[in-house]
Amino acid sequence: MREYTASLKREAERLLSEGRVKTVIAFGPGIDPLAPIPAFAEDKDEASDLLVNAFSAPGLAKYVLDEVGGVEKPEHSVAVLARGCDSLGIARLIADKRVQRQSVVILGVHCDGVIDRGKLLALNPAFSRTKNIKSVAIGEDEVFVEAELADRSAVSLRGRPEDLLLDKCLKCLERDPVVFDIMLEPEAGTMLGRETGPTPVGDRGGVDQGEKEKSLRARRSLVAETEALSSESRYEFWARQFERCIRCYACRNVCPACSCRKCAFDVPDPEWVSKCTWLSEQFMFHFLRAFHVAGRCVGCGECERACPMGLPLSLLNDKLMKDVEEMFGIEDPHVPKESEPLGFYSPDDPEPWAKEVSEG
Amino acid sequence: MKRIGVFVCWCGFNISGTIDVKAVASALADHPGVVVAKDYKYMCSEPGQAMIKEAIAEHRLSGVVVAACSPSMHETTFREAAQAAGLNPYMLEIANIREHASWVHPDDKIAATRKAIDLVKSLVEKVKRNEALEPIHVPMTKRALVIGGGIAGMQAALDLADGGTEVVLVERDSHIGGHMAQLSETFPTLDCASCILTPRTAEVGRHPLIKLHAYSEVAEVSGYVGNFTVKVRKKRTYVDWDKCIGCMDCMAKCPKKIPSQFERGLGIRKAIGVAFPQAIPYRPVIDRDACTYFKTGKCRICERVCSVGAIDFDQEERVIEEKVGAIIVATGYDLAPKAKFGEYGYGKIKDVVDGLEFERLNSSSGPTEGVIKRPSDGKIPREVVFIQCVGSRDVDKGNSYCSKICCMYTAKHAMLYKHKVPDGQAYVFYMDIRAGGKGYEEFVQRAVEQDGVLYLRGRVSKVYEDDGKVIVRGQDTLSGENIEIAADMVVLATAIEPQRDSRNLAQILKIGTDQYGFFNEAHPKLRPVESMTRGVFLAGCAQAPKDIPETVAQASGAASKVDVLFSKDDLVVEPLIASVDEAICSGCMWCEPICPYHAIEPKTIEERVGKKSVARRVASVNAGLCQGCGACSVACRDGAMNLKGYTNQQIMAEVEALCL
Amino acid sequence: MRISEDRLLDLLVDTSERMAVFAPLEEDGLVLLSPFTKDRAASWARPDSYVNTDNTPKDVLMPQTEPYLRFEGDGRRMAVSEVAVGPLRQTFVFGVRPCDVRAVELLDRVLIEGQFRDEMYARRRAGTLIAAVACSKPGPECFCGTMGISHLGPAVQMTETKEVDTPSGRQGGVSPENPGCDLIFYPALRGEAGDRAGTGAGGGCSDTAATNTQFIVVSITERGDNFLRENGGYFEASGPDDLDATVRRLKDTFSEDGPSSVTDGLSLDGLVPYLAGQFDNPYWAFVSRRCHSCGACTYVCPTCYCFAVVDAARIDRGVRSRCWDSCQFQEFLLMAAGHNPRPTKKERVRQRFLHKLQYYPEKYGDYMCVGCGRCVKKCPVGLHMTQVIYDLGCIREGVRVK
Repeated sequence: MREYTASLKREAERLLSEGRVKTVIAFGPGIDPLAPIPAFAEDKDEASDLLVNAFSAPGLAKYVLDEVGGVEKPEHSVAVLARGCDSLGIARLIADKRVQRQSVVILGVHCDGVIDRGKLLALNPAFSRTKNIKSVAIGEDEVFVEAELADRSAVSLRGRPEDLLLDKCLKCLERDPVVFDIMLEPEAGTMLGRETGPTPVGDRGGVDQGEKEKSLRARRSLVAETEALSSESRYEFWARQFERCIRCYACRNVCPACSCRKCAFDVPDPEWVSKCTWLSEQFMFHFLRAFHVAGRCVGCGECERACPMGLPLSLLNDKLMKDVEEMFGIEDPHVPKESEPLGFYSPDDPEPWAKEVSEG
Repeated sequence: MKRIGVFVCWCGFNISGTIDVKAVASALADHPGVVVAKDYKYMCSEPGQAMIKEAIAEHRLSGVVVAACSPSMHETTFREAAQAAGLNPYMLEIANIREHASWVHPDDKIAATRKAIDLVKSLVEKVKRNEALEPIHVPMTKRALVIGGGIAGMQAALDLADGGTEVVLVERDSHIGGHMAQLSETFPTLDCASCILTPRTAEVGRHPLIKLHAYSEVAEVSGYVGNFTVKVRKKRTYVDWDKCIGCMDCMAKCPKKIPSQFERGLGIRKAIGVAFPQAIPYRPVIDRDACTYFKTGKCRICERVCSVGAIDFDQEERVIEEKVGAIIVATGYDLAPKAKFGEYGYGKIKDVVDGLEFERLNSSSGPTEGVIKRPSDGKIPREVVFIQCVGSRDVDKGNSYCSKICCMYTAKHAMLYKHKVPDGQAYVFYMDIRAGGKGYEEFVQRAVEQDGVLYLRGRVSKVYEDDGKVIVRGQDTLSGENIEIAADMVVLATAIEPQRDSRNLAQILKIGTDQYGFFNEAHPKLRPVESMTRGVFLAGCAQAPKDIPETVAQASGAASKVDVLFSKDDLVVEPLIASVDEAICSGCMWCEPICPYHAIEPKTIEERVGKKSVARRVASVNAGLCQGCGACSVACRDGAMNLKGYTNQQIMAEVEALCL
Repeated sequence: MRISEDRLLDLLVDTSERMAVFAPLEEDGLVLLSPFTKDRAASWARPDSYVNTDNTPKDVLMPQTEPYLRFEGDGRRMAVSEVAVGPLRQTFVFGVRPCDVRAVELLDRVLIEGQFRDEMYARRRAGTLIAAVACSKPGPECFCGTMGISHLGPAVQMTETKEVDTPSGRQGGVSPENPGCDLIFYPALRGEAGDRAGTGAGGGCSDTAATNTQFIVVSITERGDNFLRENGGYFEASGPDDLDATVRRLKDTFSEDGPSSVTDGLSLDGLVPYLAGQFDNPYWAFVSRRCHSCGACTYVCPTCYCFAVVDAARIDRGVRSRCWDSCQFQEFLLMAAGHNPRPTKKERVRQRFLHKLQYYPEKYGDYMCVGCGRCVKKCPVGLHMTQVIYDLGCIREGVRVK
């Protein structure tokens, strides 16, 4: 990943000092260099702590709703750092009228993927003692990471993208933001720590249609695999997944398409889904969740990333996305649109029951 | 604590023949919340209703379930009974154990009884969650729109206007009168069509309460019963009708002659002028496609001869807005297109004409001044073949229905022909004769017996031209013989079809059509002049093929329905509409485009959050527009949208009771 | 005593005929404390192959959904019957890590020894034999040491434990009355106890012996003693120095790499009294801003025990259950009349950390955190225990929290 932190800090400081926004949402250092945390800068000092790098895993879209969403006239605006996936989420919130476009300044940034801390540590636990990251390069076929450890020694690792990137990044649909106000520029010619690190294996850069096709293929083939199962095996598969669910609602709470003031799952009457984790309730919860985002899911994969129990939630979402694409002929179903396939009445809507009556 | 009463109706043997009604009542008597459960032979009878009323008082019932027939039959009856006993009428529900149980499971009494018990329990659980509702009152505009100026539209407009209601009449053509103006005589009396029609057209033209928009179309309808806003597109006539005095000098001097549509192409008209001498309004229109000036940029003779300067070549189309409270749709019919009937030579052989063309040939004001001449050479036809059911009752041509009037007008045509050409021969190919109507059968008999029209039962297989004759081949199924007639002329009784753009108008009005495009009535028997959209009524052939007296009757029926609507001070709307829980509503407005009735729009509410006042958008439902279809409620993810009388809580309770 | 992996499998199979047995099993890339079956990939046999189970012993002792009442009415009267009355099935949980053993003991303090005895929990706890497995390596998120908990488990006879400052002053966080488990299994290296493994496992080939994990087993309760006695056939006597050697080796391997970034430099000194004055610290608003109000941290936490009472009722009958609930959920404290005492993330996040770091220690003497690191690993946005302890340290030193 190119180095964007300097450019991020510069824009953040400018927006804050000009009074254009009250808050800039990006990442801060956190206790673990391998896990930058969402950060909210409101002054120059805080802006100087902001960063973005190849370990910045959390999505940021949902914070826009927290900060300026849900009201007619927000008191102030926010700026938010947005990679492709973040921008899709923000676009979703805007399309759902939960956030007003004019109350958010979108700081777009190109993204080549985020390294999965867990995968990295599984391959080499020594990285858990990282003091700072010296160099990262994410290429088509290879990812390289080098870090300095607490004892000043260095550790490095070279591996395939699938062994090192977040699963959601392997299925990435948009590397560049679909909506933005300011596009962050990388520092001229620099990679993160490039001067001191070994030669990086290459930098993807730019929009790559082929890459997107690859991601779509990956998603479709996973969906096709599940579709190909017999209904008994498919039931068994999902029953095992849903049985494991602890109903922490992380999937819902990080989802930019789940922006209701009061989620149906939290309404006591009628109780659509009980807190009881009997399998029937688990199915009900997961199907309702998936159907509530059907036609609106942006494919950001945050639900799956956030799930503490490793449920393949993208698979459900992708199945519905594929159906929407095929049944309604919607191109790029993950990109929020003016009017959604399941979101309007048309006199041409098929009404088989009405026909039956008139013929009968 | 809920106190529910359950009343199980036998419906004579309709229910009790299959369902053990005593078992249903006793099963429900043990159901939680049920304080009384009874059965009775006819719950809808006076004693049955009295039983319910007494129980409401005696047991202080908070809700009632009547297990009987479909709610579309007696829901109102029982709700009124409940109301008379002091219970809010919406605290009563019907469990349909007739259509949903006894009638559909006649062979399994045990299962049908079990199902009936489940259905009633389900409704008991629903009614426990019912809330008292009050009808909604909405102000209305007591002014009606009539679409179509044929005999149906005129009759409806005159009835309404005579009763004191202001009417806006929109006619697509430049004149009113519709198809009836093209007819020569009418069955079964053979009186002259224009003699009975023109007094009506004239009356419409001068009625102070009828505002006529001729040469205009309805472009857009918004709003709801009592409060429609209609956009009327006034097409370009290129003549300022306000200035025009109807001298028709323009028509006289216009050098451009074109085939007349009114004469079905059998006569000619000018590029400017009126369709026929008695046209109302008597104002000319320039046919832009035919006019020499519009084609070549030269001419403008009409402009020169017009003494009042009414010609306006630069006239713009205008859209005007009318506010009305009710709409009568009387857009009439079209004949099946010629292209459909190649096998009868229609459209290829000049002397094969359709019924309306034959009407014009018969008409004293028609192109032949009432002398029947065949179109190819103007000779008097000696042998004329009439073919019935052309495109009607014919699945292959798409119309399985009967056009209803062809038997009668064919008899009329044959008779008129015989009167004018007594030595000629008229043949009629028919499938069977449908002459139901006052004096109709006698009329057909007269054609056969007095006028010697030869009726041949059978289908025509082929019609072709040979040496100036039209050869008709067919079969007489009564004698089994093949028949070939060398006719001079063939008249086809082509099918009545809906107007080509009827589906388009249906969309504008949000009413339904059947598979052919005829507008759907709300109920085929009991509500034949109402559409499914409140405030929109139907008259004439736009609803289904019918003859003039039926059309006039339906038009008067529609007009009286409008009068009934307007007889109230304001509009009373069922409270079974969508409502928004503003505390939950996220204002995503997903419901707005999903509403087929455009009843939902955003509104801003102020609420206190902490110490601040915050403005927030929520959905709001227009009570007048909402039809209670529930589409919004289904689309609402957080459940903020609920349909009163069918809330999520009620539906869930019903389902849970069924699944227990 | 000692036992080899093969014999342990036999023991678990045998025990599962008499008792409900739980052990760490693999499922879709996770390791879950699950009902034991011998056909599933067994993590329990390779304690070095995983850090800890993704779920916790709470799943066994306080299941997420636990029905306890049935009710049925005839419209006039309501009949109530208990669901779980009568003896529960005796349960054997194998493979609980020392941090989670401590967590069980912390739950006991509230749910059994506290002011109100939770009969449902107590009954399950009384019927459950817990076998711990000591750790040889800390995971990247482990901070049991910081919380004063030994990776070797509560072996009271092992006096040599790390000196840490715990509010109760108990060394190694162990209460002699209730150690939190009954047996401790110490995984041994080959050479320590493995030389005799072949014979112990019934004379298998040398490959088996080489890959066969050996455990030194110690009982620390009477119930543990009984279990060992009853199943004596599966165990062998260990050598006099075997235990010491294994423990020494485990201690060495555990500390050889030094602390990970998420556990380095954390200090709990004087934290409880300090926090008593920090209820209104603006830090809570600051840190909670990134919280998404999901319940992942609380549901994967081995010490969180909050629950809700849920009725699944239809018309005239139903079941009342106790279900996990989370203080991080917006509706957790929502009152019937609509008031919510913890309306924003600030109050809810503060509650979670003050409960674990101040309220519980004040009441029960120890932190309500065992350093298992699950919240560190599972929180989608890095709002977890070590981050907060670190931040609080910064605040106390006057350093700006980033």
